[in-house]
Parts: sequence; structure tokens; C-alpha cells
Amino acid sequence: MAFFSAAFFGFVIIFLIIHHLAGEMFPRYQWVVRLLAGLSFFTYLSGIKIIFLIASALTVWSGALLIHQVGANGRIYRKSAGLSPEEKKAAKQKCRRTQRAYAAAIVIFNIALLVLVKYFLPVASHPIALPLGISFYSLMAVSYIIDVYGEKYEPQANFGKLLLYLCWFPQLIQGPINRYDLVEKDLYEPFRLHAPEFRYAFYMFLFGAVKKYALADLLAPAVNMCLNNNSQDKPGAYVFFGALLFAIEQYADFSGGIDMSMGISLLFGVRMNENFKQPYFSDSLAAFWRRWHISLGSFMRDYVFYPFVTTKPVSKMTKAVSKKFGAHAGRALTGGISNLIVFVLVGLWHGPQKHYIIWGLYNGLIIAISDALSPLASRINAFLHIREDGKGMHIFRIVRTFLIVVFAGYFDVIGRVRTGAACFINTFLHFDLPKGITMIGELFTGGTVSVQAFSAAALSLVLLVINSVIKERGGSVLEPLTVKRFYLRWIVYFALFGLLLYSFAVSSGIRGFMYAAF
Amino acid sequence: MNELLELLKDVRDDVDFENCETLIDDGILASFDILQIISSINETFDIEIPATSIIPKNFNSVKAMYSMIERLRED
Repeated sequence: MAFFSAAFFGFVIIFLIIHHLAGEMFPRYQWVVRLLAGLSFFTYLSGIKIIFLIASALTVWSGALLIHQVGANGRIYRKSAGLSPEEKKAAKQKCRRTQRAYAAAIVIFNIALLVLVKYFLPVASHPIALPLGISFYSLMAVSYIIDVYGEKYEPQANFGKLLLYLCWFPQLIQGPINRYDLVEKDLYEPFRLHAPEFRYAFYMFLFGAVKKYALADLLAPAVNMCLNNNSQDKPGAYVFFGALLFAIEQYADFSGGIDMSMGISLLFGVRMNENFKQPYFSDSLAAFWRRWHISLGSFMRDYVFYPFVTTKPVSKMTKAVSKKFGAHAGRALTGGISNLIVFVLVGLWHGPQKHYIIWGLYNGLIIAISDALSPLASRINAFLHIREDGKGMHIFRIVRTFLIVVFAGYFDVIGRVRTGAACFINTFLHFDLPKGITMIGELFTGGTVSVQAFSAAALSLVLLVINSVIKERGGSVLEPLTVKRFYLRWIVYFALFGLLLYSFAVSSGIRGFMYAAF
Repeated sequence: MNELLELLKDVRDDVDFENCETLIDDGILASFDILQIISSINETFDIEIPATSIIPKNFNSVKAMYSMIERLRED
């Protein structure tokens, strides 16, 4: 069921009606409709594989309650009379150990299930055969159990409600990896859809669809021509052009899909977690990763990076290096190593292929090295009288970051590491602009990209850039559209819808979402 | 409190730690900064900040960090 299909629209409309009626008649149980929507969506697309979802939900639901109960019992015991401070401390430690063992067992179970299904079972050879959204909801399950262990919030006693958290249908295609405490209220409380929210959601969906179908999908054929397993002999200019288009395609595909999911979710009153914040305006690769696929980045930071750097051996290492070589060295070394681990995991999360590991190492190494060298860079800038907070420097950094991301694309798109590396080298040593331009021209004359498709994509790109610049400057595109006079709103709707229809007409085919495969 | 402020200034001298209340929410401190802050706090105050305590609420301001340190000292 594609997002832009009669089946999906039918599904959403039917559930919206039931959801509305339930809200009028049984507001306390309106969440059950959301749960049924999630379960139906899951079963429709993954059938019997829903047992994987139920297994995850059962373990984290019961495990969280158990961990909470152990903690509560421990507190009662420690309050009992006649305990010395030492005994109390020992009792608390024992209690934490028990809780930790439960939490660890549940985390391991869920991650093992994900790894097994994604990397080891034969079904993994075909991505669609994966249980729907397992890469996303497994991480959500893990974050939930760790947060309950960390006493960040109380566990959910109602199994149905916890199951809803994991199987809320808009998040199942490509995330975001929602945090329980941020969506809990919206998921369970009654909601009535009013006109402003509807307009907001509708515009979000529509603009997301433009990004996906009138930009990403129209660029895809050209990207596939420029970057593939046989690109090693192509001129640098040509592969670089492909990587540039890929940077646009990937952002438009993923963020467009997320916008569509978020719009749909808003119709049911559920505000999902932010996943993008104009990432191409980042002034460093580290900042880029705080603004691109935010829900995955923050998951890795909170549940891999921090737990790892606070383990005894690692914090001892930080301490020792800090003492010997200064605080910055300690931070750079521990942070750098942990960051490499995080990015290799992010790479593996995308798939078990070698090129994703290289892609992870590339990202991790650049961030680690730039943090390690940051004091040196400051000194050089001071020596050269370059103002670090100047506008010129800011723009230079944005362009540099964008190029680093573009180069990462070689290892992302091209399946063969050797070919990716050859393209990387060709970009610097064998750019060959004249031949590159000729070959780019052949994309048009050879029929890979029609002039119509290219024009529609260019127009969408302009709209996307305007949209992003407004947001980056702190403005809102949605607010004025939801309150301004109705004719202006309708002009925008019609224009976007027209662009969308036009792009369907000139497109060489609708593609699935890139991130649905992960 | 002053000890903590000094320690924070060592990590990042470009941040107004006295007045800022959104160090994490506004993305002023990055994960590498937090790592260095934790290491210094552990060293200076002789405590061990567990990973579960590294949440925005505990690091958004100097006050928040200080009360977290107090809590961990009591344990």
C-alpha cells in the first residue's frame, strides 16, 4: 500500500471517520481506534509476522512493570526500621543489579530479534518481507525499557496502550523512532480534529508528497545512471553530479516521506517526534547529524554513546588520558572512539553490507578528527585573523559540510566499496569537466531524464529551498497558510497538487520509500 | 557552584553558563562537550554520573547540574 494510493486514502478516511465517531461517543476509548488502525495496517502489509511485533511488545510491557515493581519493593524494604546506612546502600545496589539484569535481558532479546530477522533469516534477502517497521519499533521498545529502568517515567500498565506506542501506523513505514514520553499524551488522550489542525496536516502531507514524488522520484533515474556498480571509469564531474542529485533525492525522499507520515498522524492528533531540521544548513558534520534523521541520532546518543562512555573502563581511560595530555585529549579520544562505534552501528542499521560500514567509518572519523583538531583550528584562525563567528566563515562551513555529505553518498548508493572508492578518487584526480558535461547532457538526450521531469524537479527544488530558508530564519510556512484568507490557501493547494499530478504524468515510475527498506 | 562554573568554562569558554537555561534543548552543548563535562564533574566531585542521569533535565542549566550532583552525592 503506497502512501499515495487509493487503498491508503481509503484506509485513512475510514479510520478517520471511526476515530471521529469514537471520539464523540467514547472519548476515553478513542485510543483503541488508533490501536486497531495500527494493527490492521501492520497485518495488511505483514500478515502473520505480527507475532514479532507482539513478542516485542509483550517483553517490554511486562519487563517494564517488573523492573518498576522491583524498584518499588526495594524502596519499601529500605524504609523498614532497623537498617544501618550500609545495609540500605547494599540493598539499593542489589535492587539496581536485579533491575539491570531484567532490562539487559529484554534489550538483548529485542535487539537479537531485530538482528536475526534483518540479517540472518532468509527473508531478509527481500526487504519487503521484513516485519513492517521492525527497524524502527525495535529501537522504540529498547528506548522505553531503558527509560523505565532509568526511572525517567512510569511504565505503561495497559498492554494495549503500549502496543499502540509500538505500532502507531504512520511511524511504521520509515519512522520516526518516537520516544514514549513525547508521544504518550497524544496517543492516549481523546482528540477532536478542527479546521486549523486539518489544514496544517493537509499542507504537511501535500508538501511532503511534492518532495517525494515531484522531486526525489524524478531525480532517481539520473542518480541511478550516474552512480552504480559500474561507475568506476566515469569522469569525476559526472559521478559528482550524480552524488549532488543523490543528496537532494535522499533528503527529499526521506524528509518528504516523514512529512507525509507526520501529516497523517496529525489528523489523529498525534504529533510525532521531529526528524529533520534543515540539515543542509549545518555548519559541521556533527551538527548535520543533529539535524538529519534526528530520532535515530538521538537514539544512538542516549542509548549507545552515553552508556558506553560512562562504563567503568571507558571513563577510566578518559580520566587517564585527560590527566596526561589535557582534558581535551581525553574527550577527543573517548568521544572519537565511541563516535566511531556509533556510526558503524548506524551503518549496520542500514544494512549488513560492507559499503555501509565504510560509510559509517567515514562519518565517524570525520567527526572524531574535527573534534580532536578543533583547538588547533581555532589557533590557526586566530593567527590568520579569521573571525570564527563571521558570516563568511559560516557560509564556508555550510558548503564544506554539504560537500562532505555529498561525498558520503558514493559509499551510500554504490553497493561495491571498490567502485565507491574509485569514484571518490576520480572526483579529485580525474574530474574531466568537458567529458562530464557531455555525459550529463546524454542523460537528457538518451531519455533517462525528460525535460518535463527535469523542469518539475527544478521547480520543486526551488519551492523546497524557499521553504527551508523561511524555516531556517525562524519563520513558519505552515502558520500563515492555516490562518490567511482562504483563496490564498487554495491557490497554494492547487499549485502543489497540480505540480504533483504533473510529476506523476512525466515520472518514469513511482518508487517505494528509501528508508522503508532499512 | 563556583567550582562547577569554572569547570564548565574550561570545557566551553564561549557559552554563557550563568544565565543559560536551555543548554541541551537549544543544542548549545554537544555530546562531546557533555562527555568532557561528565568526566570533569566525576573527577572534581568524586561521584559517578550514570548514563541514566544524562537527560536534558539534568544538564540544561548550571543549577540543574548542581542539584543532580547533590542528589548523586547523597546516594
